[in-house]
Amino acid sequence: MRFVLRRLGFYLVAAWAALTLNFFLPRLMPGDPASALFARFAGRVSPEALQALRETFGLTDASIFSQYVTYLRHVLTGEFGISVAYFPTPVSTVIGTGLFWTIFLAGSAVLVSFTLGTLLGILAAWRRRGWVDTWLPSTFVFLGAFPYFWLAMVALYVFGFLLGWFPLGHAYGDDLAPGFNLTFLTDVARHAALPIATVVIATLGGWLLTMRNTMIGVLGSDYVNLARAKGLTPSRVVLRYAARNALLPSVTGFGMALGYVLGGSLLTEIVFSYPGQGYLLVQAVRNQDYPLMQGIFLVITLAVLGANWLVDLVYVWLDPRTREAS
Amino acid sequence: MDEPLLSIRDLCVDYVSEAGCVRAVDHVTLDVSRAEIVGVAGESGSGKSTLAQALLRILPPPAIISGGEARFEGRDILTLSETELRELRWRRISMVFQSAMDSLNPVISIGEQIVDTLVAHGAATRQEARSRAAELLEMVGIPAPRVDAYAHQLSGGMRQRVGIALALALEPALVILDEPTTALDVIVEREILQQIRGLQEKLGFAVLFITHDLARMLQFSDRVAVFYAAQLVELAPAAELRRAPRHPYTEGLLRAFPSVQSDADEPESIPGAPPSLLSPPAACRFHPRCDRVQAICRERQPDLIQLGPRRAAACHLAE
Ligand SMILES: Nc1ncnc2c1ncn2[C@@H]1O[C@H](COP(=O)(O)OP(=O)(O)OP(=O)(O)O)[C@@H](O)[C@H]1O
Ligand SMILES: [Mg+2]
Repeated sequence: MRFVLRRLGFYLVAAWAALTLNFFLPRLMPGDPASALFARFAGRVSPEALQALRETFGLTDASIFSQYVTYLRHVLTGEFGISVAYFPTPVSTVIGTGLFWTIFLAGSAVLVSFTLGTLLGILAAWRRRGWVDTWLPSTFVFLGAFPYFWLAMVALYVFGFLLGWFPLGHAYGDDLAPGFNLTFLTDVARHAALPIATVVIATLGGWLLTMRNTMIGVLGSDYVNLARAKGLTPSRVVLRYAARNALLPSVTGFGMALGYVLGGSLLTEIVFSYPGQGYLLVQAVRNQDYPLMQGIFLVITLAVLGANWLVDLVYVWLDPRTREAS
Repeated sequence: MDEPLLSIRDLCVDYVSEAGCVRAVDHVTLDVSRAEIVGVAGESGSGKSTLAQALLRILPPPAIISGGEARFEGRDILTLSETELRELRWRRISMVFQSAMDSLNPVISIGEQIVDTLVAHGAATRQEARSRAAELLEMVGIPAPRVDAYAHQLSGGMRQRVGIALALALEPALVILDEPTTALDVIVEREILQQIRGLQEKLGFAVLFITHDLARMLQFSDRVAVFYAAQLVELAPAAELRRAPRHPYTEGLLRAFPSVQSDADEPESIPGAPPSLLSPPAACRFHPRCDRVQAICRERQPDLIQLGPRRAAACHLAE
C-alpha cells in the first residue's frame, strides 16, 4: 500500500513538471501564439473580440507568474480555451472526441497485440521447437521490421481499395448517426478493423519474443521444476507456476507501450484518416492552433502517467516482492 | 527377505551437449528399504542431484535416462506414463531441493504452494488444505500465521523448513533430501536434521539423504553410498563405513573430515582434483588420485563386489 501511494506521489510530481513545461515551452518559442492568432484573424474579428480571445488563452499582459497561476487554474478545471482550427469549439470538446477514438483504437490494438503475443509466447516456450515456436516468432519479427507507414498503406490499398472489404477511412460511415445500436457498433468495428490489425501485426512479434524468452528462463528454474515434481498437471505448472513470473517484464513493457500508443498512433490515424488524437495534432500544427496543441500534449502526458500508474498497480498485485520494497 | 522400497539397477543418465556426452550417473545399483535412511556422499559434480532428479523423472532437457531400471513399490519408474508419474510424484516420492532459496515460487505464498499440492492430489478441498498447510508448517516449527508469507519474507532456514513441510505434505514413502542444509549455519543445520529424524521416526518414511558433509551423513544415516565420478564406489552401514572403509576414496573422505575420525590430528584433503566427466580416466576412475594404485587399476575397471550381506565396494584391493 505504501508503495502504491509513494508511486502516486511520484506521478503527481511528474504531472506537475509536465504541466509547467507545457506552460513555458510555447512561450519560449519564436512566433508566440498571440501573434499567430492575430495574423490569422486579422481583419476578420473586431479588436474587442480578439482581446477577449487572448484572455481566454491566458495570453494577457499580466506577469508571467500570474499567467502561470491562471493557466494552472484553467488546466485543473479542464479549460484549455478555444480551438483555432475548429473555431469556436472549446479545446476540451475537440480533445474529448479525439481522445475517445484514440483510446478506443489504440487501446484495443495494444490490448489485442499484448494478449495475443503473450499467449503465443507462452505456447512457444511450452512447446519448444514446436510448430508455433518455429514459425511465428520469425514471421512476426519479419513483419514488424517493415516501416509501419508502408505496412498500413499496403493493407489499406489491398483490403480497402482493391478488394473493398473494409472502408477507406474515418471512424464510422457518414450516413450513420452515432448511437448505441447494433448497426452503428458494427460499422465502428468495420472501420477500426484495418487500423487495429496493422498495429497488431507490427507489434505482436515484440510481445511474443519477450514472453517466449523470459518464459524459457523461468521454465528452467528450480521452482518450476519443484512444481513439476509435485505432480501438478503440465498446464498448471506452465500457467500458474511459470507464466505469472514470466509476465513481469512484459507488464513493464506494457506501461511503456501504452504511452507510445497514445502519442504514437499518429501514423495509424493519418493513414486511415481516423479522427483521433494524432489526427487532431496534425490539424493543430497545420493551423498553428496552439491551444489545441497544448491541450493535446497535456492530455497525452497525463494519460501516459495515468497508464503507468495503473501498470504499477498491476505489477504490485502480480509480484509480492514489490509490496514492501523500500 | 521382502522386496526393497526402491531398487535401482544399472541406472545411467547422460547429459547430451555439443561438447560431447557426459554420463553423470553411470551404472548405479542401489536399494532403499522401507523406513531406511540411505546417505549419498560424493564430491561436487559426482552426479548426486542428477540421480535424485532421475528418480522423479524431472531432469531438465539435455539430460536423458539412457539405461537401467528403478523399481519403486514393484513398478519401474522409468517406464511410467505421464499420468502414472503424476500419481507417483509427491504422493509416493517427494524431494527437498538443493537450493531452498530458488525452489519456492517468489510470487505465490508458501501456504498456497502447499495447498496446490494437496488439492492437485485430491487429498483435501481448498479450505481443508489451508488448515492442513498451517499444521504442516507448525510441524516444522514455523508459526501457523505465516502461511500467507512469501519466500522473500523468510530466512534461509525457514525456507528450508517450508521445503521439508512441503515434502511431507502427502506422507510419501520416500523423501529425497538433496543437501537440505548446505546454505545454513551449523546450529540451524543440526536443528533441522534432528527435526527430520524425529519426523522420520514418527511417520516412517524412507530417506535418500544427499550431502557432501560426511560427518553429518554418518550420524544421520543407516547406510551410506559413496559416489565418485558418477559411479557408486562403496556401500556400507554407517558404523561399518566409519570403522573400516574398503575403498581408498572413502578413506580419503574420512580423513578429510577430522570430526569423523577423532584420532586424526589434521584434516587431509585428497590430492588431485575430481575428474572431468567429459573424459573420465580409463579403468578405475580413482587411480590417478589413489595412494595405493596397482598395475591392474590402470588396466581394468573394478566391479562392485559384494563384501558381506550389506556391504559392497568397487576396488581391486577389496577383493
Ligand atoms: N545441464 C547440464 N549439461 C551438461 N552437464 C551437466 C548439466 N547439469 C549437470 N551436468 C554435469 O553432471 C554432473 C553431475 O551434476 P550434479 O548436479 O548431479 O552433481 P552433484 O553431485 O549434485 O553436485 P553438487 O554437490 O555440486 O550438487 C556434473 O559433473 C555436471 O558437469
Ligand atoms: Mg547437487
